[in-house]
Amino acid sequence: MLEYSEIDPYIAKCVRCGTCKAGVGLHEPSCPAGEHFQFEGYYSSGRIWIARGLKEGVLPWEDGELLKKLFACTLCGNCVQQCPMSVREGMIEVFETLRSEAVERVGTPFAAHRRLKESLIQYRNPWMQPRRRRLQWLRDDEVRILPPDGSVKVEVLYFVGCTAALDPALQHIAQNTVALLKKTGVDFGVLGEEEICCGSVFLRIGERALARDLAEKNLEMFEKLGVTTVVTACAGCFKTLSQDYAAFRDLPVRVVHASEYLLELREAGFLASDQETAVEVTYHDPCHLGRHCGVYDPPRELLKSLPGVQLREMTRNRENAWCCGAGGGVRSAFPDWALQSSRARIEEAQATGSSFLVTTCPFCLQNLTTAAQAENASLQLVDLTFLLARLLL
Amino acid sequence: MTRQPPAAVLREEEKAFLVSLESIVGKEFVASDPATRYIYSQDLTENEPHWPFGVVMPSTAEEVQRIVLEANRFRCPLVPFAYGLNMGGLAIPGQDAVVVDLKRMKSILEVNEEDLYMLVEPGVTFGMIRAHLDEHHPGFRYTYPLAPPQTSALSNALMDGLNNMSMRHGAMSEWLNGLEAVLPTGELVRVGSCAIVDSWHGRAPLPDLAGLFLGWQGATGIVTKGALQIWPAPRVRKRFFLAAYDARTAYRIMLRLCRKDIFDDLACVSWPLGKMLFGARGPLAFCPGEPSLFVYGDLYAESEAHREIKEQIMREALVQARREGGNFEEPMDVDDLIQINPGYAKLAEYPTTLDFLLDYGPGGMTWVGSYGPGSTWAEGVEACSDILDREGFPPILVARPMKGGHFWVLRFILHFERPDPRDRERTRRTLGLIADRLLDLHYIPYKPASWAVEKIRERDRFGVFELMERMKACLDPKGILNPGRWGL
Repeated sequence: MLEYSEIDPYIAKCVRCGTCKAGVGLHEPSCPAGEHFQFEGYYSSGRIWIARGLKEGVLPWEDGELLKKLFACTLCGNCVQQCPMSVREGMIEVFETLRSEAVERVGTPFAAHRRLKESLIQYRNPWMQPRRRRLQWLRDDEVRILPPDGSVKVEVLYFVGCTAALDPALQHIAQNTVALLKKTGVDFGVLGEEEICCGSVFLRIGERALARDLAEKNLEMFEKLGVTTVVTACAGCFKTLSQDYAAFRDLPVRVVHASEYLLELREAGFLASDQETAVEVTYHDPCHLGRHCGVYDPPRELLKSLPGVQLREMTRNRENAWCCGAGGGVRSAFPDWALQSSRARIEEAQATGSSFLVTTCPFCLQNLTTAAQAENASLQLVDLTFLLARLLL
Repeated sequence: MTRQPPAAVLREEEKAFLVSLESIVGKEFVASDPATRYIYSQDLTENEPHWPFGVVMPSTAEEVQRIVLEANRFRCPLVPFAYGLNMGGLAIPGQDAVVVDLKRMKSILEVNEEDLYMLVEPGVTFGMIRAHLDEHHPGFRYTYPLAPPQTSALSNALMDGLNNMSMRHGAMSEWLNGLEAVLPTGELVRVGSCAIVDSWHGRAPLPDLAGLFLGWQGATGIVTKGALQIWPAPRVRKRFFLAAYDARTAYRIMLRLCRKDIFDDLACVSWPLGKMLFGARGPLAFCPGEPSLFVYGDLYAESEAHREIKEQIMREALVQARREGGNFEEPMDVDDLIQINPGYAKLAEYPTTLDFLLDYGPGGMTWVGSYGPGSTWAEGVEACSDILDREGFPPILVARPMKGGHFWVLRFILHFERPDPRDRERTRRTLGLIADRLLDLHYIPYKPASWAVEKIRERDRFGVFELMERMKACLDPKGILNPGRWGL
């Protein structure tokens, strides 16, 4: 995590060669913001040059159009994959740092982001949902709810995440993850109402102080619980817990995404099934899982391991995957553009001829589902855990 | 870098002009905020920034026409801008102006395999062309410059850039079959066969009015479409590298090879680039006894037997060059070099990302490239390398024979600290010294920045600049398009 005073070496290097604008080899658009707004300032290279102008003191922090350029970015990291220069090593951190600096200097610039903050302060989640609803997804009482004092010891904490816990349309992710974990016999529990936001969205929208506070509380909780492993089915939580928290201090636990963990368990023979269902699926790489954390193969391996399931890749996949358009605080502040980005992804998924679009992030699923409805898409959008539960349980 | 601060408030007529542009392209495609103006005010070179007071993004030729007409009405200059990678300050406004960013015009409108051309808009990049041809027309190829993939193909053709088939075809403008352009007075015109018939097959036999737009740096029209030649893709490609120990030897090798007409590409780079390709990042030093220049060539063939014959001819030419003296190594297959260092693949793949070159410096990069006769090429390499050495720059050179050796390229690249005014001044001084020496040796800078234009103009012996002024005045009586370019 960079401080504003540390970004100079990164921003000095960019020559605005424009390679970040399109996928290397594919030459398909790579930048959702640039593709939508088109002006140079919305591409990563332009944003880097804006940083120079800010450093030189010739650009005003309080300018609304400047702030829009800093925040109209999903932080998907596609530019990082395409950029051939060393600036890529700090690109996303530079953007997050600029946002954080903007918040410090001029306050939270977007009303939608202010509402997220208010929600966090009031409910410890960004969804304006009372904490007591965090267990609404629970279908039975067979899941161990861990008391925060650490008096019940388990090996694994299933960190549900705010979206899967609180969005009724996505609660099946939590239900299916729990069902799958139970089938494997893993010794796990959940925090229930005591679970708080991981802080992902607040890191992305420049609210570092809030995010740091959440990180401290969560890390303290993990230590108190004494768990060795934290599993999450949310790509955003996974990136935050595994990468961003590690920047604050040494992680006391192993953090794994559900796709990695379930693959391990399946390969170890705990999720066996001989049920065969002929189905064609395509897979959307969530930015936080794929580009940010390098987890491309486990979800695919799991899908391919299911008898009868055929994986059909979209043209832009893995490192080149087109962002769903929701991340980086974009869905809340720029909902129309977020929808447009996800509609492009739905079109791409439909072109594969698959009947299922599978992903591994509740937030991607949420945005893509909205787009699929707008597109009247014929394919079904599901989380990986849905397909696994349906075919393995 | 010393920046010109933006005017806090736009003048009334500027505001009115921007409002009129909004009515043409929509509000979302006109910008005048400080951040946008700042970005479009500069490029990666040493050229001083100048803030435009707005940027407009049309999506059709008709919108471009309407923008130009409005610019005439408001007497407001326009600066065309293609896809975003600009060099030499050529898209930096010379005075208060609106930048016309053409990247929304990015369609490949037609690929005609039978008549061997493709029709593209100005926002189409080399990367897009490569991907499109690979996917839809794998039997055909276009040519690529030593530039990143997100470079406008049409701009490069209009600016007479070099390319990876320059050895056979010459500068990029040779690849143009015809153009559609909006004149500075707003009329839409076409030049080439497309002006008369529904085909973009060539520029002959009409008077070649493409010259009204080629090399003019956007001062005579905004090109909205262009037909670029495509060529059948040969089945076999073989690239060779050869190390030479001095410029005169490298010249003799290339001269012998280009006279044999076996290569589509033949070029050479100097030792610093060789080290950068090997991943060097620190200060570069020449070690006595090491090769100073690396000659490389692309040999294309229709079959392995065809390739073998060409290779045999190449070896015979090299025997001849060796007899003439000079020290050089036997050629190596690039595949072998890539095995030693995968970095070399970057010079063999098109379009290349050029990361080894762009990422080497501290963020500022510039060059002076020039076209001239082969007879003074080696002297040019030596003299300009000495200048660079004296001024504390490594002698980064890209050079090649063009069109079978009818003319040659000398291009010297300088990295510098953009934010440091002293380093910018040192860079400017060095570029000037090189340009002077090149002109002495009959090499004329291409894509010249304003400072280079002045030096070219000083050598104008037959009134060509006066003729250019008359043509500019005739085409652009109100001085709307890119005023200041070529000093006009």
